[in-house]
Amino acid sequence: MPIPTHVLSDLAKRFGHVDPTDGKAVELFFTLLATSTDLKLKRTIAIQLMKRQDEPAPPSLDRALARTIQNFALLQDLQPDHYAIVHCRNGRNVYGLIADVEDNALTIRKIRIPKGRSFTVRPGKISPRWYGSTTQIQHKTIETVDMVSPRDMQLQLTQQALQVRSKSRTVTKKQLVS
Amino acid sequence: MDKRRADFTWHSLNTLRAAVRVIAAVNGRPYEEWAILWTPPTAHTPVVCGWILLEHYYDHLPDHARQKRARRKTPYVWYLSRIPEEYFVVTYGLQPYPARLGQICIDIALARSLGTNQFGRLGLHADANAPRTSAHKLGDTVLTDWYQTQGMTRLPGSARLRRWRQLAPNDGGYFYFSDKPGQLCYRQLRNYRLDR
Repeated sequence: MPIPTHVLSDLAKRFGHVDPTDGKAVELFFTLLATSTDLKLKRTIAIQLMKRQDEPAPPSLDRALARTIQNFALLQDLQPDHYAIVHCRNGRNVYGLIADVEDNALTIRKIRIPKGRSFTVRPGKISPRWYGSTTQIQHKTIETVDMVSPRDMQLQLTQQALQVRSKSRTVTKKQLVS
Repeated sequence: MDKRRADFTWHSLNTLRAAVRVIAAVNGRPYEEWAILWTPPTAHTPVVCGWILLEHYYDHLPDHARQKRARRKTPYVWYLSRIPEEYFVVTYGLQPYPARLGQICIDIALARSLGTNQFGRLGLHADANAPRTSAHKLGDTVLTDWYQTQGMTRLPGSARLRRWRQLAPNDGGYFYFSDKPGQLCYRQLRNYRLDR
């Protein structure tokens, strides 16, 4: 009971780059790990397993019709030229200016997020360190909205978000130096 | 079947077995797994009706606040579950569902505790996602009630637990058998054993 299934899937994804929804692949990862001689990896994963014993399960990915209607209403409330944080289910964040709001999608910067399973927009204030100056930030409370995106889209979004973040930091540093 | 239930892992038990093997290897403690097998009259191959994964020589739960040398050792049960009824009936097409499977699992764990000079001590954590009792007392689930019925003692939620390479934070879901209650429970189950 102490090690939930979602923790096993998550660790297999993180350390073995395995599809967490593929039960056989997760099983194979742990079976190979158990016989592996890589003690460092074993130790890291064992500590994670012990740390995350009995971790509460994430909310179900199933979406009810009522939720979809609610999402639609919430999306209508969002406005362009405001900032939003999109919390991805993989623990990463996509953040930036809302460029466009459609009936069934939200575009942050140039990233279009169709409505559905993988993303959640949560109420949030953008931290000034991300954008350099507080004057650029318009505060906007955004209710919870669930968005759909295929898996590869999710990964792509994360990578783009990380790239944008590192680039903006580099630019800020250069400006400071000059 | 609700994915949050502990026995949902029955479908992915091999993954959990491998994960516990990794933990045991890193901790350098012996690890054992036991299964309850039953061959139905209509089949030739046995059906797994219960599964226990345990690791020996963990620190006894109430002793965590003591000095390291003063801590008694206990087997810690990582997984203890009987076969889910849905699985038994639907997958194997068998009926009726056998009784006392949970008690057999506890009995095996206690037998191993006694057999490895740990004097009937046992520690485990009740699954927090188990269904709530009808009384709906705060924190009480069907499982916590069942463990208490078997004679296990609940570790107080305020008790300190050593975290490093040991256990998750104490949420009041830990149960243990001390020496005497463990031996008593083992004796009570003697009538169901062949080698009594």
